Amino acid sequence: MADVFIDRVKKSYGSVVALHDITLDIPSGSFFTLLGPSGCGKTTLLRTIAGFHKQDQGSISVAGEVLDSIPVHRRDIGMVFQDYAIFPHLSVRANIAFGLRQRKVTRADIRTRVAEILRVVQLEHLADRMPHELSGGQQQRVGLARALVTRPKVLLMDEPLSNLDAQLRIDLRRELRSLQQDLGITTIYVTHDQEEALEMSDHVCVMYQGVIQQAANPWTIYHQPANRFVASFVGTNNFLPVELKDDVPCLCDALIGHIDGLPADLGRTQQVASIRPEHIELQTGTTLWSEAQPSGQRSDYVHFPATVHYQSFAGRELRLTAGVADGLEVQLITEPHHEYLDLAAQSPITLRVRNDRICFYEVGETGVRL
Amino acid sequence: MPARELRRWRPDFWTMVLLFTLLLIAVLLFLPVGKVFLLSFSDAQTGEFTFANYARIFSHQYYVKALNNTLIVGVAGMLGACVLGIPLAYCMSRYHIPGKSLVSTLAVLALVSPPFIGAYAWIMIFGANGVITNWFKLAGIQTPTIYGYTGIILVFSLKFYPFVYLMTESAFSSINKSLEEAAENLGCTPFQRFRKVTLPLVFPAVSTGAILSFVLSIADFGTPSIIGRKVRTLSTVAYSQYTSELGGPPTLAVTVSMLMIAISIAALLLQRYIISKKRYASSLTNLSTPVRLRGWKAGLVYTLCFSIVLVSVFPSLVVIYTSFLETSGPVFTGGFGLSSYNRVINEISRAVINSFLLASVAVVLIGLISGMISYIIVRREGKIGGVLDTILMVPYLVPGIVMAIGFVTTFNRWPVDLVATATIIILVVFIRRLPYGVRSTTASLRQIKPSIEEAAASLGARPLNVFMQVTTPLIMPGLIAGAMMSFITAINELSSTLILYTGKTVTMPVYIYISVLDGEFGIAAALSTLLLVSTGVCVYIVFRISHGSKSAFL
Repeated sequence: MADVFIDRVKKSYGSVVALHDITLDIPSGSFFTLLGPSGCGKTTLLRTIAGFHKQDQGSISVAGEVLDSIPVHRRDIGMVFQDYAIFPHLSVRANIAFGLRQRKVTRADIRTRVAEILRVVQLEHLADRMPHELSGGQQQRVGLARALVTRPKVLLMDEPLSNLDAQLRIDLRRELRSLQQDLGITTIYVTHDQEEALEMSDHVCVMYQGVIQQAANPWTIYHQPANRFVASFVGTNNFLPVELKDDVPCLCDALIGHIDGLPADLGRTQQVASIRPEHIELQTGTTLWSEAQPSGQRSDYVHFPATVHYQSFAGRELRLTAGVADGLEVQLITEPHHEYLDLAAQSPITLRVRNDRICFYEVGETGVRL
Repeated sequence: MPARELRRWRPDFWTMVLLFTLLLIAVLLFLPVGKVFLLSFSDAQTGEFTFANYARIFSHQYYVKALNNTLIVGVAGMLGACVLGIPLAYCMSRYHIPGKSLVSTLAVLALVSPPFIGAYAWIMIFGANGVITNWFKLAGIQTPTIYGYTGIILVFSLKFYPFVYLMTESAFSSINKSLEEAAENLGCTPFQRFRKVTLPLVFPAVSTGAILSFVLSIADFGTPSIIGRKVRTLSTVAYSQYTSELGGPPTLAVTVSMLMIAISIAALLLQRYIISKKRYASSLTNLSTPVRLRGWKAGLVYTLCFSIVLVSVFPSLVVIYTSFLETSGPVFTGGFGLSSYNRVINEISRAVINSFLLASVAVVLIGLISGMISYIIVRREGKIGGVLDTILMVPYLVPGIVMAIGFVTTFNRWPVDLVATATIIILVVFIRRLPYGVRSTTASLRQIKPSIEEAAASLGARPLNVFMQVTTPLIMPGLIAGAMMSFITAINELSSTLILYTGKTVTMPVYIYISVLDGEFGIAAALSTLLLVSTGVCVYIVFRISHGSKSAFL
């Protein structure tokens, strides 16, 4: 059990800044995920914690102990690799015992501890196999067992599931998470799969271009993204420009009603609004909601006239692309009612979104949320 | 006192290995070569700085002629290697040839057998008293002489064509077939297609093989010395100059040596410059499959392939055959017998033992160190790996004679006096053959994912333990293949040993050389057969380890 404190860590390769002033406080026993596209610095940060890279500035401490001058092999941090990194010349049992041997654990203790961890990862029947006889999923269990058996203070995982089949990946997510909770081991997990991050983590830290964009719990990351990058990277989002019409902010020719907490001059500088596809409601025809709305009165909804461009039925949901004003398109997800399925291309429809579901950002790739 | 100041600078394991490696290279490579370089600019009597040595060499017919001869046999040997190697590579990669692996095995055997064996075997066939010469004499026909340019160029072509062949074959096989089809589709005749599309694409590979042939040709001592007669090259001149300058500083010998190094470097830089402009991305999508030939075409192609490799191993077969001929002193008495071997065992068992002992010690040292050097080259962050990789090209460029002269003139007095010791022979062979070991292990190590070593470190293994328990077992095939290759070249080493040997440290190649000069062909053949057999065993091991891949021999 150990907390990890990363204090103003910087790292660059020549003129490329890989880590730009990273400060993170990772609570003991938590499942902490570094999420971001490739090249964002998440793996560099993980490898710096492991000791494979040395930061240019700043310091990293685990359970209060500063690690900066401690070499990899004395850090007592477990690591699980994307490509498994199983020793090909050692059996499963010898792979798992490797770390214990380095620690000069007695033969008898090695035997019991290896047996114990084999049971935990359900590999008892494969203990004497060689790595090349194992499937990818089994190899990754060996990698996990090998890292856990030394009882490290912290467990690092570098995209451990990304080389596995889709279904196995989903099964192993749950398994990893419940194992982590049982052991209560502080885990830092790197992934570019946002669904994986949201599903498994206590905390998610979204990184981009070596900078922390947002570190928060999954709910906050999804529903209250700190900036436009987080909004676009985590989940799907529609981004629409906010324009002024007669001094009133508009979204695709539709007025934006009152939203609590937004600056009154919304729209005066350039802004972008985001709407999640599942927050857009759909009505066939052109009239229904708008007619029910007394004109001029402030509404809780924004309404858009739109036309169907493309729709795809994906079983439990219907995905629809609709054209709105100015040649823009929005994606939306809705329950697959029959009347929607029968919509022909170019059919007129009406979309509506609750005002408070709309987020506003300053323009730019990482424009902050207003 | 603050704790920080108490902490001393403690280099990690690999930094220490790196420092040791650099020290080793400085002492065993830069010091002797530097000494040769400096000596070439100093006066033999006063030791003062002078250009006189170079002036003398470029104004004396004797040296200028040797320089010309070196360039002639180097270029002609290289062209000969290309003339044999390129067609063989083309046929082997494009046509279905029965006994293909036999052809490539024979080519590899021709490559690894020592060139001086080829030289004296051709003398036994075509020389003044040669078998075939005598047949023609009986018929009253005067055959052209084998001595001089003809012999040297013949031996070099037949010895070095496998470099061109092995390099070019893989290039031919990896050409995208669509490119050639596109050329034909655009209206090229088959010959135009070969000249304008295929040849340019394999040019980088051809030039690498050719330059290797050239560098080895100009460095070779045994061949011109045995079969050259009046045709002297820089290496034979450097050797005789060195023996005549014994006692004083060998300034003229080292000046000639510098010339040889300069030619090698110039050739390498030229080749680098040429291929730097011709780097093609290759896609391995549409590879050509070997065509099955019929009729006279098939006969022609098979004859071509087999005659090239059979002619190139012919000298070895002659040598083995000769070794079983009964002799009385230097004279063959007719009939078969083991008298040559008896003489080897009774009179010169020391040379046999020395050869195996010296080569083995050198190879064990190479094995121990090449793994660690490879680790630095492949794994260490920063530029040092690339620098080290380049430095290890230097031994390829320094002819054996030159390296030996460098060692003798460097380590000849207190504190390090190695003259006339076995150590000096071992160290010269070590530094000359180290690149073979390093190249082989480097290739192996590049196949191993760094994450495997990182995993070991994160599990608590110290750097030395990571290397011993994880890296070494995984690169073992490369390590063994490299050691075998080093052993082959070490046990066949002639040029440097000839300068360094004494009665106690005489080796088989040296003894073969002396026997050939004395006309003792029986003993030479028996010793050569021993060398060929041990070489063959090593080749077999390398083949087994590398699963038939021929690239281990380059």
